[in-house]
Amino acid sequence: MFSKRLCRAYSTTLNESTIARPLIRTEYAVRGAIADKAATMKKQMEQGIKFPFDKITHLNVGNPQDLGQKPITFNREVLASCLTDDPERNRMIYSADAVDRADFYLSNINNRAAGAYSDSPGIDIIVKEVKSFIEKRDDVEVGEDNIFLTEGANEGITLMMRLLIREKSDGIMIPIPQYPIYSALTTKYNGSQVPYYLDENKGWGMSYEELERSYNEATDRGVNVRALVVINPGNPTGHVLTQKDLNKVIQFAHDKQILVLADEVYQRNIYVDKEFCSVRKTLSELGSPYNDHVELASFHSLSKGLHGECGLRGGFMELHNIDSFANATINKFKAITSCANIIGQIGVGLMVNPPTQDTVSEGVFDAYQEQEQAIFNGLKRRANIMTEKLNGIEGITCNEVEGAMYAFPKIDLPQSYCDSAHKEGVAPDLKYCLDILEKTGIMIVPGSGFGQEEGTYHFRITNLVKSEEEMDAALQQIGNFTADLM
Amino acid sequence: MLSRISIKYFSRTYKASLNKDTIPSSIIRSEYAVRGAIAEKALKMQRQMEDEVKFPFEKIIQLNIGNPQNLGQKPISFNREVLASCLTNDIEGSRMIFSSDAVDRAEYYLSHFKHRAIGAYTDIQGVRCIMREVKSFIEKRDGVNVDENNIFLTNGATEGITFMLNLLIKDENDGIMIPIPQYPMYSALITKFEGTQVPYYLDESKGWGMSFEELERSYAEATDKGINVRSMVVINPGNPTGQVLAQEDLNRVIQFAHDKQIFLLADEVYQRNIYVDKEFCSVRKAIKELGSPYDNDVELASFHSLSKGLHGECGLRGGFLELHNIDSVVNLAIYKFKAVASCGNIIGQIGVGLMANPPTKDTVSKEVFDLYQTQEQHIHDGLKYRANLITEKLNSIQGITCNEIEGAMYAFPQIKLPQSYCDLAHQEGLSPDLKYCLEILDKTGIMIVPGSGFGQEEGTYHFRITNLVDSKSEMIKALDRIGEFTSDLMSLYK
Repeated sequence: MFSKRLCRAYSTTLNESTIARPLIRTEYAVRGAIADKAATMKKQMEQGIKFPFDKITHLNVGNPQDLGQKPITFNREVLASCLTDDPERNRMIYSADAVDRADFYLSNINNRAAGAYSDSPGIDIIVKEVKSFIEKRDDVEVGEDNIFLTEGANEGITLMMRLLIREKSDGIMIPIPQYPIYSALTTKYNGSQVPYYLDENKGWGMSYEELERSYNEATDRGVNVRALVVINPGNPTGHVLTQKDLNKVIQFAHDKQILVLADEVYQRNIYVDKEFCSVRKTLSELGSPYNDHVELASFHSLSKGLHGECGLRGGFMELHNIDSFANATINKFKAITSCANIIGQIGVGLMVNPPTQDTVSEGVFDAYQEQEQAIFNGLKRRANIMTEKLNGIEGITCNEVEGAMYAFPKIDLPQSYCDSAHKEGVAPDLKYCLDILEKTGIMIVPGSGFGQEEGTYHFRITNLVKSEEEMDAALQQIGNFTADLM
Repeated sequence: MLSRISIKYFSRTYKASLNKDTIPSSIIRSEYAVRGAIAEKALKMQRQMEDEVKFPFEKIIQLNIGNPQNLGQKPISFNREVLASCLTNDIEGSRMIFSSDAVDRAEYYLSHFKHRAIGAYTDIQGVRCIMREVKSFIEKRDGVNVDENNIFLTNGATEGITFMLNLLIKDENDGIMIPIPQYPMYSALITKFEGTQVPYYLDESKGWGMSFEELERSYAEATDKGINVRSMVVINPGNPTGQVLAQEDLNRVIQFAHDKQIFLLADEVYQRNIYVDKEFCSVRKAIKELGSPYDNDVELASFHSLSKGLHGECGLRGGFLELHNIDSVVNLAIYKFKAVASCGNIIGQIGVGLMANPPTKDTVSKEVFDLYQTQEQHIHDGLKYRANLITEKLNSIQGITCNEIEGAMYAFPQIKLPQSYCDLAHQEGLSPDLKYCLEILDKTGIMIVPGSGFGQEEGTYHFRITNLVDSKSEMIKALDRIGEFTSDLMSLYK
């Protein structure tokens, strides 16, 4: 055995040739090439290398608190009180209302232990809060067994995608442009992406005809379409679907007998005169037979909205018309990963069951409202500023940002620039974003990461920089760079 | 359009498209006993109790899961004060009610976040300053040099283990060697990823120790069947068995892995739970001390967690993964997995920092240090005491034999179920140890897990029970009830 070792080369057993191809092919643009380059530049800056800007500005990820948004005080006091279970002491520095709410949660957790695993679907009392929230919002009846508390919306989406994709021929209809997690997961699980295009000329709206076209094209090539993803409000487009739009989606899903995945994490981020209508509510109001049949998984998250608690990793999934065996399987899956982290779960409870005028003191309620309102106003104002300023740049056109946290402007890159990019083996919009990063330190994400009509180029930029001055400056620099480029 | 569609509906039935026939079979086959049949029955019973149905016991006792705080273990004050201070970012206020050392530590972490915002997504691998704490921890513990890029902060150890198994299993011919008995998450994940389980048996007659011959036998048997053995899992201290591997044992494991050129997965989450006169030696350290060529060649992923040890913060979901001798594409793949899954939750990450970099005599006040030590010592003493108590009591029950619990949080006793009982179980379509556990639950409210969930030598039966009930009297009562039930069973089915 000893001589064997001396005369043979030891090579790693886990390498590019031994890892399954789908895993290697999985791409996630939001943190891809731009993030890599920024990391390199950051290291160089730390080594003292000079750049034509002070710092790197992260306008690539929907990460509100990283850009100055403050957390809601009441929520954080509740979470802190849950971790240091000494109500008398906590009352010295937190509001009595916050301490009471913490006590409410702790008294519904065995041994008041926030550090214990909970039941896999989630802490019972919080599941009930989520149930009430949905029932009130949508005027429906919700079964507790259909609610799962998850690590962000991510965990629920991943679970459903994993269940839906058995083999390459299983297809998932994804809006183009989309939040790249859907394409990443479809690739990872070795399924087929079935794109349906949103119409940039119609404010990024969807049409029944396009759904049909997309479905038919897929089935023609032998794809078995399993589900349809709806992101409402849209990411990266921000488009808010009306109830009429959703009716069409549901009728389509019913006709094809496919499952609907409703990503509704931005439901509290709407900046225009439109109301959020959940797919669940739409189904209920459409009534029979849709409400009895259409399989639905809806996702919500603590990361967006007005709380922006990305780092706490909280979210939930609600199932409707899901087969009981499938439900049991989801439960089994949840059990393997134990449970979602408790702080995230409590954060979700606070999101769905916020303090009201009747349940807390006036001082606490007013502060809560003010904080949320300030955040909302800021997001709305910056959404408008972004749309305006981007449209003011020659070569760039941007649809109105109706909701979510992004603008997704189109940029008419000159042919010669595109040719140059192709020579370098880089998508033109990626080249544009890399150049912007290099010249201005601003991180944005190329449209190719989200999907776009062939021959068009876009980028996604967030409206999250809290300081309007800073945002103006960033947009100014993008404007200057783009003008020079043109 | 609507009328066109309605006609269609009246003439066909709608079938849920996501059902038993359409869910991937690997997922259907994946079983996780710790929260399986016993947990389902307990849930039903819990609901019945809420509906006022009477049972011959007051409450259900969860001795099935390694969930310390659920059974009375208290968290460490210093840690919680740091976490609370980070959450409210109110340094002045926090100083009024928490130790200034805790607030200082929170200040240290907060100063490393942009805008002091722990509610933001972090770098994919984890918060840099915490990764450095983990790096120092490993370097100090093992006398090695650690590359920060080989560390990932994860949601419990589970997440890291899941990533590695996903990468290692390309198709059903890829085999992963797992100890029998094992923590059922391994078998569940291997099945989920459609790989092949390659069992290597631990020796119950030798305190659940492992032998080189058995590793060879297991490997040879698999390769003879055409299995491509990709990796070997080592759980040290063991779960459910608790045995602590000596450095000599680990050397043989490493040499074996090197000889077969397979990837080592070292699950070391119970490294602070050792109740006998043995030291924990990490695989990382053993490889280093073995030196060349092992230290340059053997691929290793080591996992640790905030859920066990003396902090028992299962619900916070903190852990880390350390890689050694891996191809850069592995690092990249895990980075991508993590990017899609998003960063580990911040509270869990900070918890890991606190675990890896605890307060010391030099860094905090005497009062804070003493309290910290006292709290940890109390927890350790309790775990050790109950480990001994359980072993003793279980061995005194006729029909039950139990190896000494060297570490971790469980006893895994063998129960010699009468043949007639086993026959009855088989008639009912149940594994005899599952029937036993279901009946224990029914009669006493105690949840334990059947050995079949963990794997055992054919024809033997075991169950796993935790040593976590904080109250000594409650622990004794539970064991007495198990004893009574078992002796009744033995007489009844003689």
